[in-house]
Amino acid sequence: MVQFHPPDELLLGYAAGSLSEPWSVLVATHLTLCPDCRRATADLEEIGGLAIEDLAPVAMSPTALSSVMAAVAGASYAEGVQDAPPAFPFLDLAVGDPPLPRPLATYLNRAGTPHAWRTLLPGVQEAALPAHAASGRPSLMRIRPGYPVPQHTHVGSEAIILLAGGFSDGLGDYRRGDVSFADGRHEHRPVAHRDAVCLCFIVTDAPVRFTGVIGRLLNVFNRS
Amino acid sequence: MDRNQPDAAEAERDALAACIEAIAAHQDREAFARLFGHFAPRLKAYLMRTGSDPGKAEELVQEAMILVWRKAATFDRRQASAATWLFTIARNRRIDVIRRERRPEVDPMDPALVNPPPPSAEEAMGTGQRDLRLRAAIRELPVEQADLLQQAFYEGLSHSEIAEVRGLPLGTVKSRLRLAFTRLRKIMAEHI
Repeated sequence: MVQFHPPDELLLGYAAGSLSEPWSVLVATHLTLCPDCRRATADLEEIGGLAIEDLAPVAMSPTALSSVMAAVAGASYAEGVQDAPPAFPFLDLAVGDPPLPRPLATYLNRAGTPHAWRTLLPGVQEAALPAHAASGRPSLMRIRPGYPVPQHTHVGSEAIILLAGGFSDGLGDYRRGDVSFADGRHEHRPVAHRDAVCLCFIVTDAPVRFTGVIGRLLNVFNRS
Repeated sequence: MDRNQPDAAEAERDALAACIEAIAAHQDREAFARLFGHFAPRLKAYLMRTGSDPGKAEELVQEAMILVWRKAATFDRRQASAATWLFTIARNRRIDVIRRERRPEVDPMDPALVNPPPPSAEEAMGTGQRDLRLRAAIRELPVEQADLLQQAFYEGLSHSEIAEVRGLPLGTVKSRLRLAFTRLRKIMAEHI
């Protein structure tokens, strides 16, 4: 079972509809893997229902109902069957790896080809995804078994969701579906578990700032 | 709805849910007209609060109501009230059209979906009443918490936007919303 959940503000933003697309993808990916948060989010959506009922109605145009009736006349109300998203050779998932949750698979499918895997440090690669949204930089990261991710602090927020493998960051042991969220207060040093390649989806609101000697060098490169 | 008449409110809520079910079962136009009469002007108010001008709000409501007709079969009154279900449709339409983004949703047919352990009989029984309890709980929140919660939903504002509009520090907005959320969760947990 999932142990680490997105903070309330992300569930609330998802329910209210105020999150940008990359952040929503991260939340929906977690919700696919976490029935508890699905229920909490459904509860939050009830607040939206309450809002609808409490608002003072604003009259529709007199012809609105007949226009809508005309539009639905004869239309089938059956939902179209959603095509299964294609596999992602790019991700290089091993046979037997758990499937990518659909909200993420659909997003990757639609977002377009990711930028090439870029080695951040030995054993650590990142691929930025084309970002269309006003806020939230999405990327994928993979870490070879047992390799550390450079120690970094955050400017703005960063959330990581584990898709395969796992890592430990001193605060806990993260596995598939777990979300690690940092909003500028934490410094952490995740180390990938020794038994498998770790694959994550990451959303940041501001560039990650690495600390430590190697980190300072990386910051120089990131600025260029 | 009148909070002093819970029975009347509940009857109304059941009647509106029955309208959606009638559309799904036999494309009932009368039920649709009733649903439209009740919700369309409220959805329009919501969309105007979230920043659409009256013309755009009108257009979005019409599109949302077409989706209500088409998706009626996916409505499940054990999962959500009619008002909440219509809210989610209008919210998603707003995101699609105004923000030109997609709303990623959990797919119930996703092979990756993790299902909850089967509910106990007690839990299963409580589902239909869940939204009513939650509504009562929201109305009992301290004003400053309920206020921000409603702003998030009425106006679709993010935490930082609320902070800006209200002239409150971001930390204050976050902590008030967190308190509200924790309290609601606690109340809901007690009522399972």
